[in-house]
Amino acid sequence: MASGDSDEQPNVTAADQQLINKFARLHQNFAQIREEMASLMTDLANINEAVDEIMLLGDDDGQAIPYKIGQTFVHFDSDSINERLEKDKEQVETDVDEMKDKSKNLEEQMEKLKTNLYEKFGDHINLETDKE
Amino acid sequence: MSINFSESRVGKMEETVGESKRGIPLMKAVEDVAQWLKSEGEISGEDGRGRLDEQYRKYKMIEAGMAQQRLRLMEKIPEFQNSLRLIDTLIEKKEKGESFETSPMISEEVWTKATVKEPKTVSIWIGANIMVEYELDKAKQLIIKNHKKLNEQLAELNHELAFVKDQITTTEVNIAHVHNHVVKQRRLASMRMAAAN
Repeated sequence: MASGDSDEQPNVTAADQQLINKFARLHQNFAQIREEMASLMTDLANINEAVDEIMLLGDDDGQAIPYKIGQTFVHFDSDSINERLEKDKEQVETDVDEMKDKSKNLEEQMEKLKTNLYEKFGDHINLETDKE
Repeated sequence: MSINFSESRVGKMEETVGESKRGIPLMKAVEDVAQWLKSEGEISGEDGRGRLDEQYRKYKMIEAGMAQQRLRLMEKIPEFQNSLRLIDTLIEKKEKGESFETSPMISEEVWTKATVKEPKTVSIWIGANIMVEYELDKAKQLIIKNHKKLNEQLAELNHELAFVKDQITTTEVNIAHVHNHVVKQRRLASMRMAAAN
């Protein structure tokens, strides 16, 4: 946020404050989306692992594979379970794409605000965007 | 019918937050510290900072409470997703006229095996220790309806949280300004003292 003890500090107008607020909000949303993405990536890794494991199963074991939905397992044969996992994967991938779009959009907005605010306040303002 | 779950996960980005529907007070940006202190009733810089600090703590408390509430609502999303997936599975089995095996949980970490011959109805926990049995289609509609309500609650909460976040940021900047003002006043005072001596 704005700090610095130098005497020549440009005035922060209400309009500037709006921009700073928006930046802070974008930054918060950005962090949320990143968390969300991380959990989706875990889901994706789990699905892929499941697909690999099922491939290794013999015919006898592949007859009834328990698939967990909430607190219950429903048993499927390997064909229909693969179909399900494929669908799950598609869903997760769509979600990931959506999140990526959103985060890119947020980043662009943040960059724009940053340019504006740094232009006016220079060293008097510090806007963090920890990328990775 | 599918529902979009991701919208509720992260709120929509609004241009301006507008106002709080819950009546949370707005923090105005302090543009001119000296004038602000005057308008607050001729208070000193330290008192001004104290007032802002107090406001800041209040906003932070409101934020923490709402964040907690949001977390609780968010936890329900996977529950809805799972219920929906299970009902969809039942509907699929019903349409195909298939029986199927399942391992329901009978207690923590204990599962049993069961065969469902003909899925027809499903019981939904509606709260207050009551379960109601529904036909599959009706159950699905109910779940979707409740999920929609949850999404609405989340949207409202996200809006309020965004509003509070704005007030917190404004207050932070205001505190910095008043702080700088106090430091500057002190420096001026000591310079005057030095000049007088």
